[in-house]
Amino acid sequence: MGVEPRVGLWMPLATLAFCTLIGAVGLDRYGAHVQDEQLTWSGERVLDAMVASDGSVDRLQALDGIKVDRIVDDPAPRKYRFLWSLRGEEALDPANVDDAALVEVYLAARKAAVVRSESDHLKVARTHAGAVLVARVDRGRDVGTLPFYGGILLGLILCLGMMIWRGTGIYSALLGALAAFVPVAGGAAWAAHGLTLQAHELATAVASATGLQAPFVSNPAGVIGLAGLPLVLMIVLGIWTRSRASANRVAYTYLMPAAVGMGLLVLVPFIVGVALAFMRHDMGTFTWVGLANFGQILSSEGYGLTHPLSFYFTLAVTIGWTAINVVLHVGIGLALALVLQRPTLRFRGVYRVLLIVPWAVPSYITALIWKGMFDKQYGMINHVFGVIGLEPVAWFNGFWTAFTANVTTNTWLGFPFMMVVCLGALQSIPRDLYEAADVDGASAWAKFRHITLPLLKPALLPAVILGSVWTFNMFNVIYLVSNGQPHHSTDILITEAYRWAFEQDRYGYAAAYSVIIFLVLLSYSLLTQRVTKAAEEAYG
Amino acid sequence: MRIVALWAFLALLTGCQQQNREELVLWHAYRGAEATALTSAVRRFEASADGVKVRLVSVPYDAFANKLSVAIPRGNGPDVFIYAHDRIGDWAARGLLEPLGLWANESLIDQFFLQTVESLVYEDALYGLPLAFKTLALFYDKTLVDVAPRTTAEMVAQAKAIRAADASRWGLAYPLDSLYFHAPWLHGFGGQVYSKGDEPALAAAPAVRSVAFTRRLVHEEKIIPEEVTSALVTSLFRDRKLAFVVNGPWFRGELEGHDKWAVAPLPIVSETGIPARPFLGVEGVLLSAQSLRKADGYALMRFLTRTDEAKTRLSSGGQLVANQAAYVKGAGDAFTEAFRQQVEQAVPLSNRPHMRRIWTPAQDALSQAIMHGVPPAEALQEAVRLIKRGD
Amino acid sequence: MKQTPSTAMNIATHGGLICVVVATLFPVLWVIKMAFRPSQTFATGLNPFPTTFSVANFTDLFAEPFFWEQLGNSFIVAGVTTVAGVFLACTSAYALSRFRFPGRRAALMGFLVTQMFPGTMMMIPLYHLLDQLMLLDRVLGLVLVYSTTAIPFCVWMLKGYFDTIPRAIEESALMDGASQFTLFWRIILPLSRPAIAVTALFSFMTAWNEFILAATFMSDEAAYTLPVRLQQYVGQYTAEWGHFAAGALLVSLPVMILFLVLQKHLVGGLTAGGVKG
Repeated sequence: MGVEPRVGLWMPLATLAFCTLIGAVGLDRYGAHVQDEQLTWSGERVLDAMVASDGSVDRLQALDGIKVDRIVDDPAPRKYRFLWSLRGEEALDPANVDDAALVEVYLAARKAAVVRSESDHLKVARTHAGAVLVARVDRGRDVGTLPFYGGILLGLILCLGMMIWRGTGIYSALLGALAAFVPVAGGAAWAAHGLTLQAHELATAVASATGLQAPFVSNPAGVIGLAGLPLVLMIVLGIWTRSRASANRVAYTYLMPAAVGMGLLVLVPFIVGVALAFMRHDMGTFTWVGLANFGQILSSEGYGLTHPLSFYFTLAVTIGWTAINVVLHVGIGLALALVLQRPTLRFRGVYRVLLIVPWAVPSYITALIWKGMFDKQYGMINHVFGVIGLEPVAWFNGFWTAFTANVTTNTWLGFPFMMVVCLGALQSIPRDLYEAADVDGASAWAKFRHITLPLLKPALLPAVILGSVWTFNMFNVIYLVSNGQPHHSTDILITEAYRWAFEQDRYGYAAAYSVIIFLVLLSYSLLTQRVTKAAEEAYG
Repeated sequence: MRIVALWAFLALLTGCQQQNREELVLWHAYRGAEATALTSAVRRFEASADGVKVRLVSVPYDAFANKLSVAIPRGNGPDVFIYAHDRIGDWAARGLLEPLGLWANESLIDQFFLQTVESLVYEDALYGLPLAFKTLALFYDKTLVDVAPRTTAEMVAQAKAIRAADASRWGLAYPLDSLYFHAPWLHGFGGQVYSKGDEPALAAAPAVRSVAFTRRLVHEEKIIPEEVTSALVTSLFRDRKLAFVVNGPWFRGELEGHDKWAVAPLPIVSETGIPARPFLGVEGVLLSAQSLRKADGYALMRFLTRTDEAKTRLSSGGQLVANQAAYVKGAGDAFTEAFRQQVEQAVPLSNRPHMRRIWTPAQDALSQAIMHGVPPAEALQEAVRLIKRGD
Repeated sequence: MKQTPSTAMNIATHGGLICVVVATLFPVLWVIKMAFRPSQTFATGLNPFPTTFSVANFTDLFAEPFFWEQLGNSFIVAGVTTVAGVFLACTSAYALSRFRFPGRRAALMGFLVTQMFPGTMMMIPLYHLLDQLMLLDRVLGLVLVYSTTAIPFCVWMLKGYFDTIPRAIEESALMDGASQFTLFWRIILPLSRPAIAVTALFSFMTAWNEFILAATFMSDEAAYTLPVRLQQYVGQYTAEWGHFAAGALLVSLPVMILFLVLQKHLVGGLTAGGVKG
């Protein structure tokens, strides 16, 4: 079944239009953002300045007698070192003077002499005594916008190329995408590198002036991320151009909205995150370190393999955590669902709603309540132990007891979800199969093993696989209940990453951790591919 | 096609909600009474500065810092915001804050406690005006203790006597593994967290001695329970089972309905003769570097921190204001007076970004040394190793 | 012929279920205790039952400024996420289940893979992206982001469910002249009601309970959702647990009501005699 090429063109053109719209939006926002910028100045590389010492806008005068490269420079001893002054000024009320008006007057006064270029901008400041200054400051090299537009342009060209060269198939499309991604990402990384170099230079230069702040540095990772947009479009278009059969086009139409939305909102931050993993963050600046972060993590920083702070120990704990939790969730959820789906059971609606409560109540407060219940002196669990004659346990003092506390809390939080999924999945099994088995005199266990389990798999497997991915990244419970005690041993990979990012301020390192988490999970999912394939065969 | 129609419908939802830049935007994380006090102060400002409208936005504390760091560079941030001082170094290094060196003058600065202003200074630039401060002091139960102790030896003796009289009572309690609560003893023994040059000094001799001191109180003198949480402290104190508590002004909120307790400045460490110096936390009002209305923003900051506003907050809200001119006779009460005395013996919490790396390793070290019997020197050295991790 | 369980079995089953329910609801008793007593401290100790009773926390909650707007916002965001999420997931799952086309495997794995990158790391780039797309501070922005968490699970679950529906039904309908769309809308969807109910509940929960993204992306109190309001009660040193607990209970109610409503769809579509070939 062939299709007229002309009919099939509208989808690629639509994505092209979409892409252009994004670019235009970005252009507009970016431009406006830079224009409205009103940073305080650094005092460095001031090209030109004017001052109005009595606050009247039209009395703006050129600063001829004052050195313009170090505006703030008063050798007189001051009571407070963080208060600055300007020589030769008088008191005045800054509230009377308007930034925009100042800039206008300045421009008018210096019309002949001012050469407004892309690389400088005007800054306005006020002294403590009320004088007002307008200065033209050299901003230096700014490559921020280049990779963004470069990336989109490159992507567009390649998209057009793919469109023209039809029938290339998905593999060529992917190759093309990779080929485009390399220069784009490389260019973006170079730009980021350049940006960080620039920031570093400026920061060092500014540090010698009295306490003036470093200029604002745009987050290079954001730029890189947006350059990854063409990658998305590449894959979309590559798949599209392959389709000739109308049946496939229907499929793509159904799939496209979700795929494009997901692609945009997940893939772009993902690429940014990956880019960050190659950098080191220190006080606001990002520097390129290549694979150093990964090397440090994988060599577990010199700790022995079984040391709680070693990466491999945490990895083992995470895997164990995931496995045990998933088994418990599915086991309990399935058992409850089996009981609660019997039509002859009375009040089953009531039971179901009550059992969903752990999922419904916000986990922030319930996790803390569980933590309280595991308290050594005043917790409920130890109280019950005391009543039945067992020794009270110091739950958060030992690895296994703290781990048990975490598992208990997470199981309590997680089984309702599995129960609901099983309730839904059990409905897909035709009732007459059970009836036929009853006629044959099969036991309950045999029915379960040979009818329920195999037929449950396709509907249940997604929950199990996704559930294990979510449990692997379950941050809340570990952080709130045991908080890694004792001594970081119950930390899992995601809490380690969080600590690096938000407690140690090392975003690059945390991003490297996240990439490793991702790779571990990816290999796990490739393994599960075979299982899902087998499950699909059950229904043919 | 139906799908296109659905997208069109969703696109319509993008309408409305334009950001109004005509107003001055103020972010804060206040709750309850403090939020109401702030709102009325802001309305008074609007009345005095005609034409200026202020929009208050309350942001949850947990999300505040993150939201600020992403919003300001994009131009979506506030003009002025109220926050604790500990992230100033971070934000200043990234260029998010406007230095006030050219705005403020000496007579303005003279009004505040100098330590509170120092907290807002990073690399010789001032980044905000202090509104209020928080620090730790010694709460005690008046039915168990007649006179507040002046030295730690007195405090321990009193605690032991109370314990001996009734074994269900405890002498002293505070979260043992928190560096924030341990800091008074650390500074009282002459130690510090960072020495000059950004080098962690937690493994130095004074720090080790301070940890040994606490260990002694828990295991030998047995006046502190072994596992302490803040919820436990509250319930024990309310049940009159606790003589002394090291805690901050927020503790008053938890003691509602409870009476016959008082606050005093922390005692002097007998071993060294140095006063126990807690960390000082300052709540300041800060100006965004990307604000388009800096003059108005600064005017708002001046208004909120001026003396008569501070007096109102002090007398009606009991807030520990940083404006020392506000503490005239009759403005505060015994509670605020105790903290006012304490602030003179408080150490500003460093606002440098490296400070954030301290907390978890220090917590590990304190819990290991005090609650699990690891020798203090070893535990603290491990903490220093952890702090320098990733360098 | 169905076997009705004996009375002994019945009692044992109900007994077991009651034990499980009690164990499940036990921690929540503390939440109730904190919500219904006037103090703001965290409840510790051994008695989970309230000793004093007051609705002050609830009245305080309702009296907060913007409470009703925020409640409305929560409903709108969660509602639209549910509708969009379920709708997009249904269409995608249908394509993935019924058609064999190039990129199918990749799409399936792709949906799974999007869940693997830790969300906390993505927040800052996501903020930049939404800002660039002018979707900050808008319902659509939040809805899109929540959908990216909800959709993968929905797609996988629905696809698995669709897989269990025999092709014979569709083939006979096609032979009777039904279009692809009628097939989808009138035959497949009604038969999949249980799976749709589950995915609807899941999408709703994902959007309803989320707080950190809502707090970061919305810059106006009137635009906040309820979980953000709840988190405002948690301060730097202390938290207002009474108010938080009251809010937590309020926030759980719509979910439980939704579940009650969706329950009647948790009935097998193929049990009603079905279509046999």
